[in-house]
Amino acid sequence: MFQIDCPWCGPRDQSEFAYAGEGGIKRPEDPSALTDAEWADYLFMRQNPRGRHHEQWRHVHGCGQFFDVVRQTVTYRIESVDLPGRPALANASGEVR
Amino acid sequence: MSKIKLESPLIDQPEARTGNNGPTNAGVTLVERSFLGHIMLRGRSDDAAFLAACARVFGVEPPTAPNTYAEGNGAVIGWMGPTEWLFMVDSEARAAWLDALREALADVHAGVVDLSGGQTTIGLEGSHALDVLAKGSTLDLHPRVAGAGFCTRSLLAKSAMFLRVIETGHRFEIVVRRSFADYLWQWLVDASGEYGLRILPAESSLALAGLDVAAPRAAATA
Repeated sequence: MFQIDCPWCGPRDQSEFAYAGEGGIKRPEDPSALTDAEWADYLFMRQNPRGRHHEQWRHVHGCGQFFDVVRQTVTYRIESVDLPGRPALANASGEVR
Repeated sequence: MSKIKLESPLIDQPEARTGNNGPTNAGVTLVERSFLGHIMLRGRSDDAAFLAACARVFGVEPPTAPNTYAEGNGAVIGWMGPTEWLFMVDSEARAAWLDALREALADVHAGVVDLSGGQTTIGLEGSHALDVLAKGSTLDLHPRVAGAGFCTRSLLAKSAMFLRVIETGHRFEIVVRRSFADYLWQWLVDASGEYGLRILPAESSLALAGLDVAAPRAAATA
């Protein structure tokens, strides 16, 4: 168990939150121009890294809001928490490190 | 049209309705505030027109600071999220409040939903009220964090709740969904037992939660 620092409500127990998938995934501008493989990559393929991971969480039993978290999957340490739309981990090409 | 009977979700807990004649020096006092008006209000907190329209009805703007509540014109307005407020009024005033709100918010981007039948309110007070909450909640309710005017949604004994601090450290109010109310009441009775429990007869007014109850219509036109 760990605590998450909700950007609205402050530090709360993990039991109030729900994991909402990997963060920073951008929907392709023109899905019909993609190949099946590219579309499948967008829909299904995830990083699953050992180390820093860009995640979305939702404060489901609190303010109900979605937000971005950067978390170490090995140590569970949360490096940063931010409102959505400001991915802390994206590099210049928009790709998640 | 068949008549629908108004029934508290604590119908199977007779003491919730009649009280238990517990000792006056009990460490914990429970009381159901049944049949209050619960109204869900949605809108954008950066929309000046929305805030102004609400202020005309409530007398105060909905609080935009997270986890705080405000009192105005006989209503309690609790922050539930950045676009969401729970608004509680006395039962007899519910219909008038709904009308006043819908009228005031007709031309702004907002939502008003009556949740009254879906949840109930339990007052929890006493010198050991904080100890009871500590048994089932992960919240930090130290007066430094959860002082007067604090409210939040959270979990209590695995049930979702909306908690409001009426007097720091010893007077709280819990709003719980109808389907969890019977369970949560029994949990509270069990958790309070060791401190001595007094149950007051159910009441249907916020006045006994320290609120000055006034008519909304007069306020809305003032």
